Amino acid sequence: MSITFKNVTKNHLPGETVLSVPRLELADGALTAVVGPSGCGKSTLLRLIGSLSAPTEGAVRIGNRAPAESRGEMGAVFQDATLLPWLNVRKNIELALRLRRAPRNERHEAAEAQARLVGLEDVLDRYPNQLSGGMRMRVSLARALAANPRILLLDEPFGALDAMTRDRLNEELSDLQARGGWTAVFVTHSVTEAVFLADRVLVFSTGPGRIVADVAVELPKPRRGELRETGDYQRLVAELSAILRSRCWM
Amino acid sequence: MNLRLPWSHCLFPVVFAVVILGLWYAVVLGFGIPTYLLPLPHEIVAATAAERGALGIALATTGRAALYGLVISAGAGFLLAVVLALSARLRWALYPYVLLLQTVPVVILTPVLVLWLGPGLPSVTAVTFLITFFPVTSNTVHGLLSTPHAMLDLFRVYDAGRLQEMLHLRIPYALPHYLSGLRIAASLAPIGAIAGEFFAGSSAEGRGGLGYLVIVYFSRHEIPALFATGLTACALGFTFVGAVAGLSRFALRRWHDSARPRE
Repeated sequence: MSITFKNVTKNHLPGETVLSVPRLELADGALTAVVGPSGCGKSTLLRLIGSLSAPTEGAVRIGNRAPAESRGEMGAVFQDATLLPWLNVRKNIELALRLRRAPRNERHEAAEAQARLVGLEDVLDRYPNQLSGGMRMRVSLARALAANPRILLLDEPFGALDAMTRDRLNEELSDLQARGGWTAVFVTHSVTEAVFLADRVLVFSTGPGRIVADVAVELPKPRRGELRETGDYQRLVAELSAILRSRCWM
Repeated sequence: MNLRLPWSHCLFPVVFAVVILGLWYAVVLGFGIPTYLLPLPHEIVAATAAERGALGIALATTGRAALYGLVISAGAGFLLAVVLALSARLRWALYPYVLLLQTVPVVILTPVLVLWLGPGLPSVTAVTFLITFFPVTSNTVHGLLSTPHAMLDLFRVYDAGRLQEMLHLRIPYALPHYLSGLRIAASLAPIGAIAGEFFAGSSAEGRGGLGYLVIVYFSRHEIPALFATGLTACALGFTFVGAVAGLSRFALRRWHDSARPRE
C-alpha cells in the first residue's frame, strides 16, 4: 500500500512549521528509512501517516484513503517497547487481534506463529518484566505483525538496545520484511541501520523539518550481517554520513 | 508464588512494640502520671478482657458499617473516577463538587444524614462512604489519566474505540493507583464509622458501635476501657488495611514492581 504526501506542512504552534513535505510517495512494499538530527520532524512524519496527528496543510493518503481510514491495517513499534506489563507475551502479541474481536483460535495461532518467527515461542507465558530489552522489542515486533498489517511504522525501535542485539534484530527485521512484503517507514538516528534495512533513505534537516536527500539503496534482500563488510554498503553509509554532516549540522 | 512475608518483617514491629511499651512504663511510673490520664498497658489489656463482650458486639457493629462504607466507596469511587476520566468537560463540571463533599466537615453532614436516613447503620455507612470515597476516586482518576501517550498512540494505530481503550488499557494501567487509594480508604473506614457512630450511631438492641462505647466509657471515666476501645479500633483498621494490602499484592503479583521482590 503506497503512502503519498501532497503539500504537507505541520505546525506545532501557529507560524512555527516543524515539517514541510511538498511531495513524497513511498512505494508499496518498500521499507523507507528516515534519518536526520533530533527535531527534524522524523517522528512527526510517522505520526501523520499513523493518523496520530493531522497535517496543518496538505494531505496524506494511504493508497486512496485518509490515514484515519487505514488505521486497522497498520502496525507500530516504538522506541519503548510499549508492552502492556499486565499481559503475558502471548496476550501482548494478540493485542491487535483482540481489539479487532478476532476469535480466540485465530488469536492463539497468530500469536504462536509470530512468536516462532521472532524466536519467542518458549517465553509465551512470561511477563514483560521477565524479558531482556531485546526480547521485549521482539515481542513488540511480533505484536505489530500479528494482525497482518499492510503498513508498519517503526519509530527508532532499536535505539535503546546494545549494538549486537540491534544488529541481530536488524537482520530479523530485514528477513521479516522480505517475507511479509508490508510497506514500512523506519525512523532512526543510525545511518548504518538505515542503509542495512532500507530500500530508500530519506535524509531530513531541521528548521523546518524537510527532506534534503533521497537515496535509493539497491542492495539484495533479505540482508545478512556480511553485507556490512561489502564495499557497496560502506560506500552508501559514507555517502549518507557526508550528506548528514554537510546539510543537517550547519 | 509465595505471598508470605519473611520472618524479619514481623520481627522489627515486635521489637519496636517492646521498646515503646518499655518507654510507656518508664514514663508513667517515672513521672508518676496518674493512670486516669494514661493507663498502663497491662491495665488496658485487663480492661479489654473484662469488656470483651461489649467490645466484641461494638466491633461487629462498627466493622459492618466500615465494611459497607468501604465496599460502596470501592465500587462507586471507581465508577465516578471512570466517568471523570472519560471527559475533561465532565471533570471540570463534577470535580469541584466531589471535592466539596470531601471538604465539608463530617459533623455538619452527619445531622443531615440522620434526618434523611435515620440513626444507625445507614447513616454510619453513609458517613464512612463520604470519608473513604475520595482517596479511591482521586487516585484512580490520576491513574486513568497517567496512561503513557505511547500506549495510547498504539491503541489509536490499532483503531481501538474509547471503550476498548478504557477497558484494555486505562483501567489495567490505573489498577495500582486504585489499590493504593483503596488502601488509604481502608485505613479511614473504621475512623469514618466510629466518627459516624459518635454523631449518628444507635444503641438500639444493645448494638452500639465502638463510637458509642467511646461516649459511654468517657462519661463513666473508665479510661482503660476507653483505651481498650481505641485498641480494638486499631485492630479493625489493621485488618482492613491488611486485607486490601493482601488483595493488592495478589492482583499485582505478576507484573507490578510494588508487589514483586527485588532480585
